[in-house]
Amino acid sequence: MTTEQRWFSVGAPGYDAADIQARVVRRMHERTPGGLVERQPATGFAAVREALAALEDPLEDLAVQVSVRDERLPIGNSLWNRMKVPFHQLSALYVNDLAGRQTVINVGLADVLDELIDRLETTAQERDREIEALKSEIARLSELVAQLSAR
Amino acid sequence: MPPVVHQIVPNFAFADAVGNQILATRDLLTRLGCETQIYADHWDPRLSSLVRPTADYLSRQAQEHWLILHYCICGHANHVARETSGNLVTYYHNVTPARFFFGYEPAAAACCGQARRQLKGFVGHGATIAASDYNRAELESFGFSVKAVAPYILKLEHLHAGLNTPGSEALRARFTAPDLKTWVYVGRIAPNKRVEEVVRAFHVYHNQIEPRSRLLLVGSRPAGRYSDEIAALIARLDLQDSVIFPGLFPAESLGVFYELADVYVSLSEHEGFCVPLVEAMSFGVPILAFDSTAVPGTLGGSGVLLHRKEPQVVAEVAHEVIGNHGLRTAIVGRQRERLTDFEPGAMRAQLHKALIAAGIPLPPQD
Repeated sequence: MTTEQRWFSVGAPGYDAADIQARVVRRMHERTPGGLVERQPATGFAAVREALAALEDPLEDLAVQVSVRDERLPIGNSLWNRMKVPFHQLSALYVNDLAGRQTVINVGLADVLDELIDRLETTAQERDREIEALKSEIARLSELVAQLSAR
Repeated sequence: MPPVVHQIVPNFAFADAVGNQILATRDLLTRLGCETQIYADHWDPRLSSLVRPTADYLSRQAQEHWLILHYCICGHANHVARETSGNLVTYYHNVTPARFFFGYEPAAAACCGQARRQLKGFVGHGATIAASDYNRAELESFGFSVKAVAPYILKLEHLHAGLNTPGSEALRARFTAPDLKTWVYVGRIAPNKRVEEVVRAFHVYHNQIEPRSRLLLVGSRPAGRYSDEIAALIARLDLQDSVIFPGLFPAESLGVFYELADVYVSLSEHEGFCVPLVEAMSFGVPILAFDSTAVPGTLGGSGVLLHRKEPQVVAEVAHEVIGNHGLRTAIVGRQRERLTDFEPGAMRAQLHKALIAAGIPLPPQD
């Protein structure tokens, strides 16, 4: 069984995780037709949260690294390659300054989005509660009307 | 003459891993004859006699001293520590990534994000130690040079001694149910702990495998959206009678729940150490824990380390561990071996060595 196929590791001398896994898989198939039910993708607000969470690392990783390749010129090769480095570093300095300011904006936007999701979800839940209360009231009034009509 | 060594932390919490380690460090420093004080921005009222506000530290800086900053969340204390005129030692406990709080607690998300960003500003400032190998690796990825790892000194003997108190007897009477297979989770009801996945796995176990079962969710339950979602999930799955929040109880009685457990389940996706795993080991409870962050390091090859955590997988593995007596015995035996690595005397010695490696000229321990 490869590492990717291993569902768990067991700290138990004398017991093999592969044997235990085989028993687990067999029982799963006996209980559930089709065996393992894969995790369903998130929907609604949960999906938005996951998308926002996935941005956390890229949000802070905007810095540019200097990467200079040596070129082969017919003349002045060595001088040209040495001159390129400070030009690249100067460019990277300005770009990274911009990237740093952009990072501050991006992180701020993410915080605002997070707050927005929070408020939208609260509002949606309040609406759902109001709708349920109205439905109950409608049902109650309908019953009352039906009783009055029957007299 | 022993050095002056103070400690500072943004939030000094009662009975959590960082709070207990601060107290253990204070005990060590006091025993070595050091003048020491704990400073904090905020603290639990039960700790009031042991702590002073961060502002008081600012007037103590003239004296030569070392300052241990317990880095675990954002706060004014971090800024004060960074600007200290003393000798800084940053003790990194890890900061929960902000993404776990997106959509649940925007303020916590902002605070955690800020703490993780500002951590990089400590590179090259003073010395750094870490509470686990995982934390050390994370710091090194940020460019820190980590002097040593100092795992938590755990007062497991207090948990066992607390089993015989009247409070524990009352809890035992209330929760003992020998006919029920009991899953236990201990910890905060917080998004990174993925408690909803424990509930879903238990749902499969309870409905498809063993109806005579229950899940005890032991720990603080802060008010908020995440707690509400957990409660709504439990109701939606019709588990109100089987998933139990024991509520408040004396801290020394925590061991009762480990006594009652047939299996300890953690599906957390972020841990800096995970103290409950070691507590479960000390009570002979087989552990099922998801392979993430510091969990494999703390388990050290013991317990069952889940590489995937679909509810069916967790439920079936729990069933195997609970029902297979030979397997259970082997797991618990290996866990007891691992437990010896956390012997308090050895952990105190490791903390002592770590602080010396960080540059604090402590006298030798007796």
